[in-house]
Amino acid sequence: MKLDTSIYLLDWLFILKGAGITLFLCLNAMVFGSILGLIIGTMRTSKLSILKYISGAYIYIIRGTPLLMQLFLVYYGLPVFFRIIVSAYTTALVGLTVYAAAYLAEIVKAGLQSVDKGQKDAAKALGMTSWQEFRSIVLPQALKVIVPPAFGFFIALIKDSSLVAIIGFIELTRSSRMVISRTYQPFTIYLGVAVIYFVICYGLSIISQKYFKANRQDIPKASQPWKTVAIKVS
Amino acid sequence: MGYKIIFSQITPYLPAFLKGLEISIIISLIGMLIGSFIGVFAASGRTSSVYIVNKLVNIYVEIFRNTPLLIQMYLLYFGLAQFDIQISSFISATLALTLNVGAYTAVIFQTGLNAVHKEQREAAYAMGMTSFQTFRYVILPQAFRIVIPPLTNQFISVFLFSSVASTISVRELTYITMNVESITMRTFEVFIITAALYLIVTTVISLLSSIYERSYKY
Amino acid sequence: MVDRNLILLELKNINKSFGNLHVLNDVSMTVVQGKVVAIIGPSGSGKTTLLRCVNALESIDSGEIVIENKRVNPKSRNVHELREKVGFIFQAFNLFAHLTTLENIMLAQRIVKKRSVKEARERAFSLLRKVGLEDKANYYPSQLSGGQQQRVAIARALAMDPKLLLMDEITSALDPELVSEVLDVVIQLAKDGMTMIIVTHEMGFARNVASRIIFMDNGRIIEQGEPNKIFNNPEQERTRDFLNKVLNHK
Repeated sequence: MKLDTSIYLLDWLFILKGAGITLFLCLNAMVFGSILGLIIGTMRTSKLSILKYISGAYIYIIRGTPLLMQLFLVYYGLPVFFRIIVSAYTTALVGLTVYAAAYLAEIVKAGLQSVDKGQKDAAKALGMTSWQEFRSIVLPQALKVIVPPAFGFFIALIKDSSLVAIIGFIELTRSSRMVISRTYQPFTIYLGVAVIYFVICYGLSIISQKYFKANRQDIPKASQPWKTVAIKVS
Repeated sequence: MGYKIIFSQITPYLPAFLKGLEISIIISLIGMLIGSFIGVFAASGRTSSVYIVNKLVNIYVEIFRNTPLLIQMYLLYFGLAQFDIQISSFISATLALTLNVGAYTAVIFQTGLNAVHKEQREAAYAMGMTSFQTFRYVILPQAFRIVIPPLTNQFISVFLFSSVASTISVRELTYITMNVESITMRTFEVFIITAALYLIVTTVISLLSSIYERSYKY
Repeated sequence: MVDRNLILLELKNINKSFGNLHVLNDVSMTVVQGKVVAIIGPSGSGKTTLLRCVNALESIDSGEIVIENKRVNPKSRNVHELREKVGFIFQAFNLFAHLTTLENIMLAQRIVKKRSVKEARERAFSLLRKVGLEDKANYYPSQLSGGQQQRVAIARALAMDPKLLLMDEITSALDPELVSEVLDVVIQLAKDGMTMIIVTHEMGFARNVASRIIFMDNGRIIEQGEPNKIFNNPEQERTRDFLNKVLNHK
């Protein structure tokens, strides 16, 4: 066995830093992806057919082609098409955001449609504007349906983000490749990287199971109304 | 923009694209078929009452579900080289994909089986059917229908993620695409062709699945 | 005292279709302030649609809706201002599921009427007391019975100080033993002088609380008049048919 201990602590710290960058990148992609996904999700339920078709085509194309291909397209396409040079971070972020939005749009659409029409009628009947109705009645209830699958997608995104290493962005996977090129210990390093991904993803999924299961059965006891509950029951 | 769309430069490479597509499909099919086979056993392993089996299978499933496919392929192709074990890129990619599929389908099958209401099982027993008969005639047919949609999604996902094999130089569609792109520099046209090819396959898979689903919807 | 000569609502030649279905056929009526109008009729007669047109939850194809002598345009962007004056109680209660009873009553007060939190809460409490549910202030709708939810819905609509209350079969979705607690609240509202249009199947209640009964069938008003006249001595045959079926079944 050729397990060598010439991998220094500094190398692992460098890799861990990459892990932090991965998380940072994915969080950003989730934020922007959610906003874009919200827009596209609402377009899908619009009364205007043109909006429905555009958003439908977007989702169809992004979900029907590989992420790697989309990342390459952004990487090679942005400089060629728009004549701009962007950083590897921007490329990665744009690629992941566009990808995330297509998946989150469906989740958002389902969440918005899950709000009972009667609630919206009642909001209108009380004199609320469309915006007030959306913000105070539709959105809070829709979020309850949206957050669990969106969190699941976040976990998947962390794994899929390893592909941005291929277009040169230095996150967890890329950092590890750099260390390997110096130390020639691919098995040890990749094993360590796998462990790091595992800890993050498995950890998050355990949190998700605990939190979202608790959410469903948590009805504030009527006898103790002073106990505020973080998530209100539906 | 000053970029004209010319397809004529790409057309001589069409056979290469199709060959790449063929490789992608082969990798995906092997991965899906053998992977599902593994998944069935893993699903029963996860529900087994034998502690050691249960734990080992669970470890396998959780490891492959919580690590990126890219890293799995790298470990097989680059990682094992550290011990002077050389696995070809094609086998590394297909093996990684297969094991990945095994883990995901294990969960799909397990959920599918659980989704068949236990009342069905009780009703079958009440009529005097054995465990095996119950499983074969009552549980399995219903579970089969339940798992088709998630399995279809899994298959599409496998096909799309077969593109990751290009990173370890497997000559599948994405690899060919990048090659042709670097030779002809016609980025846009190249990606249109590749996207169209991927979309055609994924659409066909979805259509087949909806046709099947429609045939039994009651 | 209430000014009995003020006409609060006037509907002129209302027509509405859903696709090929002509649901409202040249419907006209007036409602005087302080009076209660009950609309009865078979299902599919257009009663609910008529009600929903009054507060612009549905748009009309032709005709005029005049509230307090001002013509109303259901398609205008300020239609929500109209709805502050006209309250609506739904058959399915439609309480906001993610808010407590108190919050349900406070929300529109705060964001539509722009009242302060304190003012909104006080008003909410006093209305809960009025419908007999102040001990359920911190409960969620899912924890209340149907009758309780409907009473909260009434309080919620009252919190907006509407000039007119529309009630769409508000007891039809309730278990029989819960119906009277809701009807008692409505009777009290009538005594307090609230102008109401009530669509209902509860004939005894309609007779008791309304100053006028309107019978609708197939999208038209067939007959209207004082309760005694309509129930004892209806002029139109269709009215008689309907009342026979409904009253004898009880």
